[in-house]
This record gives sequence, structure tokens and C-alpha cells, in this order.
Amino acid sequence: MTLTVTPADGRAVAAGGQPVALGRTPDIDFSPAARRPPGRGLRLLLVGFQDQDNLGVRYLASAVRHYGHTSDIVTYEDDPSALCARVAAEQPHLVGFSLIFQYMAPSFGKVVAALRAAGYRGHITMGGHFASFEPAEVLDRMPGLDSVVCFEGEATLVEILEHLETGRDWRPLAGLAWRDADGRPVVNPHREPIADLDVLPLPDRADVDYEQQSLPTASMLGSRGCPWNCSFCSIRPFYEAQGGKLRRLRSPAAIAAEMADLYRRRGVVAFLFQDDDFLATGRRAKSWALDLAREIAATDMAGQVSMKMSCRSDEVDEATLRQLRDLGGLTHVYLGVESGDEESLLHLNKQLKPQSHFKAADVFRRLDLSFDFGFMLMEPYSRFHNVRNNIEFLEQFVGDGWTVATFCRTLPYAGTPLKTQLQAEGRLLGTDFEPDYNFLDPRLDIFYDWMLGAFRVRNYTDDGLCHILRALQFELHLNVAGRRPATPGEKAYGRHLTSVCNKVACYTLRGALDHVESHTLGELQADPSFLVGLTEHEARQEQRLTDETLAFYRSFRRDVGPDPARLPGGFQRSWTVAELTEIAAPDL
Amino acid sequence: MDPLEIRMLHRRIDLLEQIVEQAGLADQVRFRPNADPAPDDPVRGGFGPIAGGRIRVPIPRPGDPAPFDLSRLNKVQLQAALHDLAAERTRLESMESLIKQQMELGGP
Repeated sequence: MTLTVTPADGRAVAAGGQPVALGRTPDIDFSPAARRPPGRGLRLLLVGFQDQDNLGVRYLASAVRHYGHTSDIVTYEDDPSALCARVAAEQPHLVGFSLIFQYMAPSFGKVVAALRAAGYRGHITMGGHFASFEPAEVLDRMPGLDSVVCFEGEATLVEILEHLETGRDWRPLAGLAWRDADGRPVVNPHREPIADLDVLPLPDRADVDYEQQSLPTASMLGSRGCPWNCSFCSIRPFYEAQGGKLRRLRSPAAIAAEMADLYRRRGVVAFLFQDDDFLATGRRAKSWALDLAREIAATDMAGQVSMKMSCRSDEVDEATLRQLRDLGGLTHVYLGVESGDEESLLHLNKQLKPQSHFKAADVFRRLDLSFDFGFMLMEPYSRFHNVRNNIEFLEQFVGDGWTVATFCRTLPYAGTPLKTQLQAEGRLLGTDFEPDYNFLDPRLDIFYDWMLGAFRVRNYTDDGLCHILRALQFELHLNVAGRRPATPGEKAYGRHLTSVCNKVACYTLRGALDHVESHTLGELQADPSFLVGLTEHEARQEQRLTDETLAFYRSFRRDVGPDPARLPGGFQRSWTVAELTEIAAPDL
Repeated sequence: MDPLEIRMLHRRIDLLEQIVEQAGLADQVRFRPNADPAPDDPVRGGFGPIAGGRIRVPIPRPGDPAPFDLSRLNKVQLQAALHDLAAERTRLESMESLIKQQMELGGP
């Protein structure tokens, strides 16, 4: 059964207006018995932004190879000429795009159009979070696409290839969106997720340059999904839409085996778990995490590797984290803090209070773990006092420099409850690709615009202090084979630099907020000189701190042993830059 | 003007040029005959033995020094100075705390 969708919101509805029924259980067999000899199937190119190893694309590549197809991974570039040349030379049967970042959709659209303009006639498909939530919009805006793979893609992609190979019609496949004869988008029923993640072939990492990295670092995935229902996040809606469990776990033994293979064959010593929430939720999750730690401790990786995970602050339990550190090599945690203001936490449906954040940070300090965190200084319902509370929170939370304070505002991404809410309130602005809103007090728009400019380099680029200091703190707490651990003095100096960076930023933010709050909109628009002065002040301080930090970082790296001529690795591979023009890493 | 005074002025200019050349600041320092002289900096030994104690020759530094007359500054400039002071205070307090911690830990 095929279904039509309403292009305005991309939701799938039956022709009669009935909601979509969930698709059938996938019949794709990923067991070793089903493996087909390599090279007998079709050829495809998978194009993706190579951030954090892009495990999504690598799982897809392995899945199609399991069925004998030949798959290569290509790094996405704005300039389509290299991709067009390769496609022209190799004539793959299918080109698949992995669209991770919503704001990059227009750029991906241009590359798709360029491929068609260059004469490519094969199948072009696209997947990823945004494409899954807004398939109709994506098909409308990218006429060169044949299909969109919605939600988890391994089984759907294999089925497309099977149908293309045998000349059967691929359009009725579950999990696909496509265009009918009149050009109208059609969204098929969603495919149920793969129930047992352990059946999936391990992600293909053949082309990753671990051996060339100074700190060989690999991304890992131990689970998929998150049961929490934060209003700004699309992870729960993504997995909820497919049906099935909201969080699926791989077996600890399988994860440890994958890590051990990377450690022994490829020399990987740092593992960055990209799970949506490593400790969600309760006893079952803690028990699973500890089982993994014990599996690691039982191998030759014990005491030789470090790992990073992500979680919420109310999941931080000292006894659990101590064991994860001592047995599994945990040295770094990414904490979903989001806000330090009680009202904003309510608006974001975070279901916790700021005290949880303080307790979690105290645990990290006691266990000598480094951490970094996501923080939204402003959200759509922020008033001046909420922003002020957040600045005060940042000073208390990380004023000691244990980690660097970074901040942004909440964006209503596709699929999130927040986007639906703003839409219902008539506040949703911008485009489908770049959604936007105004704050309830227009002076906060002025404050936000100023903040975006004043802290652009610091917060959102690879050259900025946030990225450099986060990477430094990560390395100062590492405990891996072949590297001398940082001395207490080195850690203390790192905290000093980070503390100054945080306090200067908070001072600058508070100065701007006081100024904006004490003036009328007209006054602020007529005379921006005060805010301009603050921006210059922040820039001067950042430049000085950046120089000091890089000098220390270079000296520390020379001293701890890795070959400086090698590729960065480490934390460089765990961070996402906001702009493609800013991906050049600082010269360390 | 007294010929002696003129000779002394010549000598002072020669000395200044010599200092600037030696310090490699020739491209950075611009003499402005109509500007106020920079305040001397006794901490940096500004007078030195160069003029035998009779002619005071300030050591030139790049750029203008901060004016002491705060009434020359507008509100934004004053605010900017306060921002810089606050940042410097933050930096010094953090360094002081770092040093005290190290002293408490003991060491060589």
C-alpha cells in the first residue's frame, strides 16, 4: 500500500486521511549464513559528511556488502566536481547521501542537481534524521532524488539494491518515500527497526586513517535510541516513529569484541561512544554499562584504552562511574545539561532541576574525569531573568575551569515537539531547512544576535577556544597506552586557562545583558557602540587566551609522546563544526 | 635661541634616533612634535645613563600610552577599560589560586 503525504508537514497519511499503519518486520537476514560473495552485486557510492567517523554511513556500507554489493564511502564536499568526476568514471548503480545536519540540506540539493546535470542516470537516494522527518519537503526541493530512505536505513537500502538488481519495482518498499507520476511525494509505511542490533554487520572502517593518527580514536555505537522526551530533541520521535523499543542495546560482549579488534589490528586507544544516552535508563542500563566495563577489563585492553560516553546529569551515579573508570577506562563524559535555569528546564521538558547538574559535576571532580556539556543559554520562552540565571549557573558550574563553558540557543529542528509547539503558536519562522523564531522580548533578539557574533569564533569554530580547551581537557585526563598521563600541575594549569576563559565570557555576557535590559529597543538600535565595544573586549581576551592555550597545548603534546606530524585524532574527531568553511583544525 | 640650547636639542634628537634604531622600533615609533611627551616609567628604568643624568631621555615604546586624564575618554571607552580590568582581575585571581594550591601541595 502506498500512501500520499501532505507536503506542508511531511506527515504520512493514507489517501483517506487515516494515520499510517506501521510497516512489517524487515525480512532482511544479516546472519553469516545469508552472506553473499563480494563483488557479485551492484556498485554504490555512499556520500556523507565525515564527522565522528559517520557510523551511520559505515553501518549502511557493511549492510550492503553483506549482500555482495560493492560500496565505497565518499566524503561530502560542497564543490560537487570531484564527486561528479568519480561518478562519471565509475557509473555506480546507486548514489546514497547521508544528510546529518538539517542546515546542510540546500547544499546537498545542489550536489544532487550537479550529478544529474552531469548526466548521471542511476538511482539517487538520501537518508538521515531530517530526510526521515521531512521526506516530502526533501523530494520537493531536490528533484534529482529518486527516493528518500526514512528512519533506520540498513534493511531498506539492501532491499532497494535487491530490487534494482533484479529489475523489480522498488517503489512499494517499506521505509521509502518517492515521487508519483505527477511528481507528488509518496511516503510508504515505515519499516520496523531491526530488533537485535547484534545481527548487523560491524561498521566498515577500512578507509579510516587510524594508523596515521597521533591518538588513534574511533567512534562506537553501543545502543540506539533514547526514551527521554525532551522537547528540543528529535531522537525519541525518530525511534518512536518506527515502532519497537525506544532504546536497543548491543550485547556488551559484541561491543568489547569490536573494540578489541580495533585496538589490536588498528591501534585504536580512545573510544568515543556516540550513543544518544549511554546510561538511559535505570538499573538495566547501569548493569549493561558495567557488563561492558567488565568485558573490557577481561581483555588485553585493560588499563590501555580510554572511553567517552554521553548521559544526563540525573543518571550520574558515583559508584557506577567509578567502575566504568576503573574497569572500562572511562575518562570523559558528555553531559546533556541544556540549561541551568529551572524554568527553562521545564520549557525544555528535561524533567530535572539544576541541582542534578551540580551533583553530577561534583562526581566528575571527585573521580578526576573530564567532561563537556551541551548548554542552551536561551530557548524560545526565555526572559531576561532566565538568561541571567543561566549566566550565573555557568559561573558556579564551571567557574573553576574543570571544563569550558559553551552556549548557544535552542533551535526547533525537524521532528521535535518544540517545532510542533512553535508552529501551533504561530511563532515558527525561517525555512524548513533553517527553522527560526523570535524571542518573546524583542530586545532578547538583539542580545542573541550580538552573542552570535561576539562568540562566533569562541563557541562555534575549530579555531575557537571552546574546541581547543575541550580537546585539551580531554587529553589532560586521558589514560592510554603509550602516553604519559598529565601531571597534577599540568591539569591545574589547564583548569586555570579554562577558568579565565569561562569567567571572561560570563562577564561579557552579563555586561551585554545588563545593557540590553536597561535600554529600550529604539535606544539599542540607535547606538550599538557599547555592544561593539564588548565584542572587541571579548576578542582581545580570547586572542590572548588562545595564544596561551595553544602554547601550553603544543608543549604538553610534545612532552607526552605522540608524533606531532601525525593526524590529530582524539577529541578533534568528536566535535561538529557549524560551518564548512571553519573545519580547519588549529595547528597543534 | 641660544646656540647651546640648539646643540643640546640636536644631541637629544641624535640620541633618540640611535635608541630607536637599536631597539628596531624605527618603523613603529612615530614622533609627533606637537604631542605631549609620554610619561616616564621609572619601573622600566626610563632615564638610564644615556644622557649622563642631565638630559632625560624616555625609552620610546610603540603606540601612545594610556592618558591619565580620564575626562578625555567617553563612556564607552571608560566601560571598555573596566572590562579589561575585570578580565585582568579574573586572570590574576585564578593564577593566585593556582599558586596557592601548588604551595599547599608542597614540592621542591
